[in-house]
Amino acid sequence: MEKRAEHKGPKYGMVIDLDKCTGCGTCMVACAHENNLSVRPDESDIQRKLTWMRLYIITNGEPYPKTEVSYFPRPCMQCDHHTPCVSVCPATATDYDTNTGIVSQIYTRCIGCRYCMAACPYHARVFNWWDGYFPKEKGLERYLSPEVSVRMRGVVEKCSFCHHRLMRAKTKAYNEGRRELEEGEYITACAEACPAKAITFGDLNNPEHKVSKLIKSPYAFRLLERLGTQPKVYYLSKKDWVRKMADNYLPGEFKPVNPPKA
Amino acid sequence: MEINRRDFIKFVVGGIAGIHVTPLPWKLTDDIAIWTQNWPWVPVPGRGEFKEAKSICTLCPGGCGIRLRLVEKRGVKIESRDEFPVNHGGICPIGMGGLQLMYDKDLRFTSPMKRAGQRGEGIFVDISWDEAYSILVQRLKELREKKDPRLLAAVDGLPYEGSESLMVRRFMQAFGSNSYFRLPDQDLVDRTVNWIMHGIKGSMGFDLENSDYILSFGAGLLEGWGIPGRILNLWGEWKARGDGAKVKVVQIESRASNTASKADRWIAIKPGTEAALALGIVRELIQRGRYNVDFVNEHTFGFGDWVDQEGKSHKGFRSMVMEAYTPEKVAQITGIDPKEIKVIATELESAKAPVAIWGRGRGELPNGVYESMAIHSINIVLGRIQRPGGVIVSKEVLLGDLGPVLTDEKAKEALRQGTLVPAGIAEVSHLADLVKAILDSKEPVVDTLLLFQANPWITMPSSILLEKALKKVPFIVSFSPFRDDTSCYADLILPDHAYLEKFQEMVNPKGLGYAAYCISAPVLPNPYSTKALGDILIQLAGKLGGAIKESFPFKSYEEVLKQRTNSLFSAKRGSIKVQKEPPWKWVEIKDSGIQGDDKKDWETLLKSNIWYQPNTKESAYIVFPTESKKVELMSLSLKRFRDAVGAKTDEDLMPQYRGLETEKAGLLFMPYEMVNWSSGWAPSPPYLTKTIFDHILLKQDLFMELNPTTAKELGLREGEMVEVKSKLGVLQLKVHLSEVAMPGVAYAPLGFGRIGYDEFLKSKGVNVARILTSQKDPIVGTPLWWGTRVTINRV
Repeated sequence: MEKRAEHKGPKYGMVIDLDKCTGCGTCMVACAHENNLSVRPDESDIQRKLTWMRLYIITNGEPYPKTEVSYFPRPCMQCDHHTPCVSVCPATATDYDTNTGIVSQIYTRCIGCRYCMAACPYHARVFNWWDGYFPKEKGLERYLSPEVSVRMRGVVEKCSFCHHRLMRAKTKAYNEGRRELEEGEYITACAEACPAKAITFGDLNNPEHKVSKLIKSPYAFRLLERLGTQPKVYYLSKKDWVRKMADNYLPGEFKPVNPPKA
Repeated sequence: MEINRRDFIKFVVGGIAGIHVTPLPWKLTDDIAIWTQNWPWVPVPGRGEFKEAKSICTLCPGGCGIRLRLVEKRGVKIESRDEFPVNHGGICPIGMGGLQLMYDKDLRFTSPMKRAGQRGEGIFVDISWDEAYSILVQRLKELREKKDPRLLAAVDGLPYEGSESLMVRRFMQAFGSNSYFRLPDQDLVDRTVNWIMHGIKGSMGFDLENSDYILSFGAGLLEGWGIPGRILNLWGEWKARGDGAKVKVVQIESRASNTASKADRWIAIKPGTEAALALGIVRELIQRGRYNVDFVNEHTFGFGDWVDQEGKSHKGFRSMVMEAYTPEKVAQITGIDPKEIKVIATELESAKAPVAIWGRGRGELPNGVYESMAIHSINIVLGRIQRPGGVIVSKEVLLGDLGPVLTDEKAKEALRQGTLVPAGIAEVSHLADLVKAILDSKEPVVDTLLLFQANPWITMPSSILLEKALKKVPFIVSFSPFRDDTSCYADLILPDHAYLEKFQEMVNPKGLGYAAYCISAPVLPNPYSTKALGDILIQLAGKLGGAIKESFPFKSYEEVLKQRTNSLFSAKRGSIKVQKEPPWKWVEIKDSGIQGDDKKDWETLLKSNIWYQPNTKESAYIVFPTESKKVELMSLSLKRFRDAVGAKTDEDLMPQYRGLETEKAGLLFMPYEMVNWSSGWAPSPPYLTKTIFDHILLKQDLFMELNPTTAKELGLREGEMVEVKSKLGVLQLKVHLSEVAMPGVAYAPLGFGRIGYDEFLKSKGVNVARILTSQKDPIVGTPLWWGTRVTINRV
């Protein structure tokens, strides 16, 4: 495998506060709408459902009335290290961009072998088994945005950290005569939509950005950290049972974080 | 040239090997990948200029500020607005998916329609507006001339203070009909409570932006209660603050809903017993002397014992509560440890701005009036009325009325005779009254039924009875823009525009803690042959002629709004532009943006989309327009209507717990609501189907939650299909074992099993409201549905 070029510029990442998350699903709807996702009449099959941002439900496993449920929004982790999907794609339809840290997906290159889906440890990639559901007379295509390609059957798709919004922000900045983007100029649809402001998006390479500060919290964690994929999506939760769900721990392996002394 | 076989093979193999060291195969693969993705049936979204438009969302009575991203005239995305006071940056998943509701042609009535199939099938044929008007006008004229104008009934789900609803009532009055019915929902109950306890005709609000302790009796804060955009945003705020300034939320309900799971504490209570716990808490506060003595003494009536003119002594609220709601009695009713009552009382005492809220989920299904009063009495004894972080009971929006309604002799005569259906005490009747009258009365009580923004088929408890009643109504007209379930029973459709295509307004958004009026102009062109409801009413009145026509001297709905808002401008109160200080700071407005020029002010209002008036210190000094001029813990209004409500004793005039009589056998059956699924009038945008887990809906099957111990007792396994039978009917549901469920109670989500709309929503699951058995609320007759008992059998 060829050595990856040195990373220059911003490295976009996300922090999701699971204690603020209300499980409302607005992030899922905003993501699907922003990125022209197709809705099929039956969306109940979780192995066929097209979602880039997906909400999972977790429970603490306690009996009633000690039961607690919580929710886990899961976009693409945009893995930083030995990105599993990139390393297996035979058509270079997916690649790690060293200028932004975003793992791209080029639909016209994708040959639909689904090797990347097998490689992704987070099940973040979905496959278009059918063409998009846009029956002629229904008029659904009217709410599609020209900024994002509409996929047809046979290609894999995944969260792109709303890369078209980065393009939008850069174009705007360029028209105003500047090259640098300010914090908040480029944010993903899910981060903008979340009513509880549980999702923070920004440049992990910039120490001023909120995301860089939030990941230093003792309550910050990532999914399946020990796989070494270095995901750029971090989670925050004060609840130990939630953090314990992020990886597979042997008995006694999980170390609860004690609240920091004020 | 001679080529022998060997050379030929060498040539071909050499060629193939050679090609593989060229870029050709890889280029071809790449090209084929592109060529095979260029089929004409893949939609290519049209390009054009990107624009932004600001608007409000009225899919629920929230009036959240939204902005739209447009490509030329097409809406391609909805976002929330950070600066808009109502939702301050929040938005709910239904609002986020609103464009799907606009653009899915099969979800909408695209032109006037006439029924072509059987009632309930939802099969219609297009007709012209002329034909639609002529059918309706002819029928209405006949009704007036040959029968009784009161046989025209309206079921109105439009926000009560809104201009459209005002016009509906105006139309009915000019026509000569007092057969006007609201929906039996939480809004109706809360308005009744506001009127009974504070004497105010209007909705209540909660200044949650300033509360530091929220004691929620079943209110689904994360299930869509209040204005979901606002509440979800507040939730993030409450969780963001550091441990010192933390806002504490305590959720009291039987199920581990999202709100219960994520609250600071969840108190699992026996369903329907919330009022007993509330009064137990009030008793504890009174016993400790840790209630707001000044407020109670100065501003409440009925707290202490009193002696009447004949010298007879009467027990007041305090004595009643001290006797009837002891910790032991409350524990027995609710199943809650008496220690918990003490803990809550201590927390309420020490909080700076506590508030008690109530509801059962989002508010589509109503609470009882007595129990809402009981929970609200916590706010009263703590003096949390008209205070920061408390309950705001007076929110005046001084919109102008539309002038006197002109009634001809026919109308006057009809209205003099009273109502065909016995009216409720709060002067407003609701659909449950009408349904009962239709089914029980021998004489017809309705000939033509008009449906305005109401879809009770999906939410009214015991909706099987609604269905029976609708079948008996000779003629049903729906004005809905969407092909909703109840409209499937209509004979004639005169469709309204969908929300972004018309002037929208929202007077006093649901549960907002200050007076506000949200308004927006249309932001999307209307591609179909629909008309704004306000314009339909004006045209209909015009065609009926006479006094009815003269009662609608407006050229358009826009003119109506301009006329009403002129009064708002001349009142010189509040602000028509968004101030720097948000309204929950309780600060006086310095520059209202009102210039005193109606045309300019109208433009300013349409730009900001809001008029609002923050509370100030003065807001605490209102006079309660009750008979006693105080907040009544013993209601003199109920006393006036004591026969109608069956109030025999003084206790019956006070907040109290009243258990529902239920059969002993069977499981309790409780519907629940979700923030990411519509159980109300607006349909769920198809995107929402992606958010529904497969333990809620799988293909066409809806799941019912059972606690594993309950399931074990019944011998039921995960995924089994069962028949759930109540006294009213049967449903088929699949079993889902979950520890969120209270043992002995079965839960199923509301809003499924639709018969209207299109393939995204139709026939998915079942409508659980159908089999809910209801008893009548003693005060307003709304359905009390949480005593439904069911038996479960395998299929």
